[in-house]
Amino acid sequence: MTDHIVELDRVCKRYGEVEALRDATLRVRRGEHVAIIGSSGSGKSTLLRCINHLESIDGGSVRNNGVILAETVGGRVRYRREADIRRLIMQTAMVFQHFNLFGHLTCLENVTIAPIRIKRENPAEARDRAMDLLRLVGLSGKANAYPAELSGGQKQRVAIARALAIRPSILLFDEPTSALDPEITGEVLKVIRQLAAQGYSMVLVTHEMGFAREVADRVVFMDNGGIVEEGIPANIFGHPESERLRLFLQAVL
Amino acid sequence: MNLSREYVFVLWPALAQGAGQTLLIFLLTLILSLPLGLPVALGSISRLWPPRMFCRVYVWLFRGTPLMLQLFFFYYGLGIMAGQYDLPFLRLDRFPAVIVTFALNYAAYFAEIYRAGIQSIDRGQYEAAKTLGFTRTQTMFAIIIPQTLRRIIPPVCNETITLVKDTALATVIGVAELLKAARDASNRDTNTTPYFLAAAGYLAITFVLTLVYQKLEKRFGRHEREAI
Repeated sequence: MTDHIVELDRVCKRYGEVEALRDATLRVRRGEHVAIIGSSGSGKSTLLRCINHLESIDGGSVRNNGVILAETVGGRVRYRREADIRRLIMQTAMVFQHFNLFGHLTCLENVTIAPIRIKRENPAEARDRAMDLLRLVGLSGKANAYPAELSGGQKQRVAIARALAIRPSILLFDEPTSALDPEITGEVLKVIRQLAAQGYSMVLVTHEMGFAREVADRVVFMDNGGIVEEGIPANIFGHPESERLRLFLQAVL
Repeated sequence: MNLSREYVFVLWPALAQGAGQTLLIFLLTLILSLPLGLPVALGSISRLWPPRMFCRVYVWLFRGTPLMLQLFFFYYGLGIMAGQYDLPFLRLDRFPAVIVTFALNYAAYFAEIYRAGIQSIDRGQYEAAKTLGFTRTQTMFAIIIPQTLRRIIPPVCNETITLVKDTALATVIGVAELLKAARDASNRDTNTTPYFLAAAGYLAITFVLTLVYQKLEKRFGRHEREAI
């Protein structure tokens, strides 16, 4: 009925007195690559985290694949049952700024734990597929290493493999290179670029303007909890309409 | 002091028996309190207030009063109450009273160690597990608790070494553990040797424990090797 994978409709989020999101609306179509840019504290990570319920919303609605995760009825936000939410957010997968690999598991186990324990896939098959995914991110040689033995870029690539292992219909990247040294962001961006080329739907919160411009079909600029401007990269970066976006681009480019 | 072979030989049976009781108290307490600490720890960080209150009050009571008082309560106090209220099952023999008291007391200490260990794990671990479809319970048992093991081994080790020495408190309600055996022998013979032998016994136990914990720390430290 809809080919939107993610629909956030007029989402509001407050932290005490601070309004982190004000009526933010974001729709992502199947196969689309959306980049969210904006300064720190503009609400872009918060918006991303509303998609998979890492943040609960205070107004508006959230849909995944057309199914309502949360909606506002009569001024009150109603969430679906916890088990339903869990099933819905497994259709999304997130790659975190700080990787969040499971430190007590090897790389291979990090990738297989959700397919085996949560999705009850056949362990041998899950391991085969995990090896394929590690090969995809260029780390099949590190299958039996623990996260503590890896560099930051390697950790993030394992985290990407782990996210892919649950066969999500969309990938959410939350500043995937912000915790990395500049000289190793390239290896992570290369993997993301590859996934984009393979047609994975993705939402990417990033400070890498060049990369956003290159990979995204659509760029969303946020400021002060709201979406100020969105459009194709050429327009956003080439012909910014709002003053705020112009100032932001001047500051970061 | 008299460390002649003949005298040690005379003391040996009673001290060995006492040491056996000491070890038994030690082991039974560990077997009961190490697992019991976990539900108490989980309860004390529960989002539901009844288990949280219950577990926190439990920990407060057992850490906040002397172990000796607790021993008196579970042995004499319950015995008196058993008579007053006609509840004979409350009356515990010396040895079970010691085990019950120690297990409950140490579970409170272990619970606090577990709780601190669990709360030291980064929030990102919960978030990653959640996005992968883990329930809260699955996250706790598959992701969080395994990562606390390495961190809680040193404080747990500390606590068990304290337990070795706390077993001597059982003497106050007349359990014939190592210290009581030594004191009886010393009083009988007006000789300090039994105390030295008892000290050697406690030291031997704690020495073995230290070795065991070094092994455990290595075993669970595997995944914390740093990148070269």
